[in-house]
Amino acid sequence: MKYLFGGLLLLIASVLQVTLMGRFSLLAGTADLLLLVMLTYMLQEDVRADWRWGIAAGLMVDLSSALPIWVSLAAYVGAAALAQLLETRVWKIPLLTLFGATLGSTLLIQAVTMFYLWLNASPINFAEAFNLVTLPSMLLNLLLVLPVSAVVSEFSKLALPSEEIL
Amino acid sequence: MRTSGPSPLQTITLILVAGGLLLLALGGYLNPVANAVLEPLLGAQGWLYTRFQTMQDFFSASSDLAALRLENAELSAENAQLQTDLIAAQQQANEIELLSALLDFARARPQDQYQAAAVISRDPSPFLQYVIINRGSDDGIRRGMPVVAQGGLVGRISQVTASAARVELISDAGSQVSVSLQPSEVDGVLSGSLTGDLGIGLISQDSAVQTGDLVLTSGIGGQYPANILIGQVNTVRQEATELFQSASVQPVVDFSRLEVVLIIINFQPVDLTPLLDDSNTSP
Repeated sequence: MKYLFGGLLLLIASVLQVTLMGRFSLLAGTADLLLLVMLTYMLQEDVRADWRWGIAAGLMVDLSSALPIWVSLAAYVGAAALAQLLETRVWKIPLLTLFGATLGSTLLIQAVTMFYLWLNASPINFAEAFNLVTLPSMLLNLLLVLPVSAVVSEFSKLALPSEEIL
Repeated sequence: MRTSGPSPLQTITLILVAGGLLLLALGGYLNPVANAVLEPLLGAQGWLYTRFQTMQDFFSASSDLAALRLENAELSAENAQLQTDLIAAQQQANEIELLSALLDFARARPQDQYQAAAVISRDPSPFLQYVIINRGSDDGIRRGMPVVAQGGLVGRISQVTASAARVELISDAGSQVSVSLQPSEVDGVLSGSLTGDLGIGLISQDSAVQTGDLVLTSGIGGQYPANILIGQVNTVRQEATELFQSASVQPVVDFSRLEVVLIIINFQPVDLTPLLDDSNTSP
């Protein structure tokens, strides 16, 4: 049930990401709602952090993105693994874990994407990409992570009885 | 005891008095007297009428209040319905305006055949400028077909499924379009960028490019039909130390507000891959 619910949350986040979130940009950066939902769900107190959530998120990104599947899978599995690692290291401070995971995951996903574009000979300027895309995206993600966490937590409590949340 | 009627003298006196009074009234001499009599009478009438009206209002207020509340509720509901109708009408007007613009574009290029499609999503990665449309190979859409909207070039189909297709916008960093500037008749290559801005490069140094020049597809390379409007030259950058001039372009299409697009379905892009493949080059 928890996996089904988590998958449903990711699916909803994926749809919102491609329809709504792209319209709200800061410079050229946008918030990654799918990443935030994945992180906040897997980092909840009663949910076990697992890097395999990254596979589900990566597959959903692949449905709507022009990036090849290996890029989205590598980016989101890496992000989930980083969150899993952080949870085991700083498990006593969930808020720090959440912010750290958001910051690190955003950087990781953008770095993987830029690496792919560089391999693909796209004419990108890394300094410009960092200033105009990565930094604004990071800021938006950090601003949104707490509200998203609250919403995901409330939905989880409503949808799953406490004993079912593992 | 004998009773008798009024004497003729009394009758004549009464008639004379009445006639005199009548003449005085007609002459306006009795007005002060009439005013003096009528004024208190009218005052009394007004006082009585006001008190009666107040009492009537007091006793009928409860039924009026209920009626007013009912009427207020009905008017509020009607107002809400009218607001909804107004919003719907505004949306329809916007759609009509959009479709009219597309129709105008289609009429301006009668040699092309079009398939309309709605934009249903955008690429989740901020590094990529792609949109997904709700028409696919089942509707005759093929890879490489040019996409236009509101009088300007949008991009081309990069990937197709049965019921949807992905469009690479010309604002994508990986997009390149051969363009011609009018009226200066200069050729160049239009490229997108990470921020979605458009720029033209490879303009020879001796060309006279000016701000305000129109940017149209040149058709060179066979990837797009010729003479599709892209935008207008915004700024020109010319430095003696560089091989080429460059220019920034203001597109006619607002890529952030794409809703409906047209796909030119009778255009077949030229496949240059065999020419570019080194292994096919004869020694």
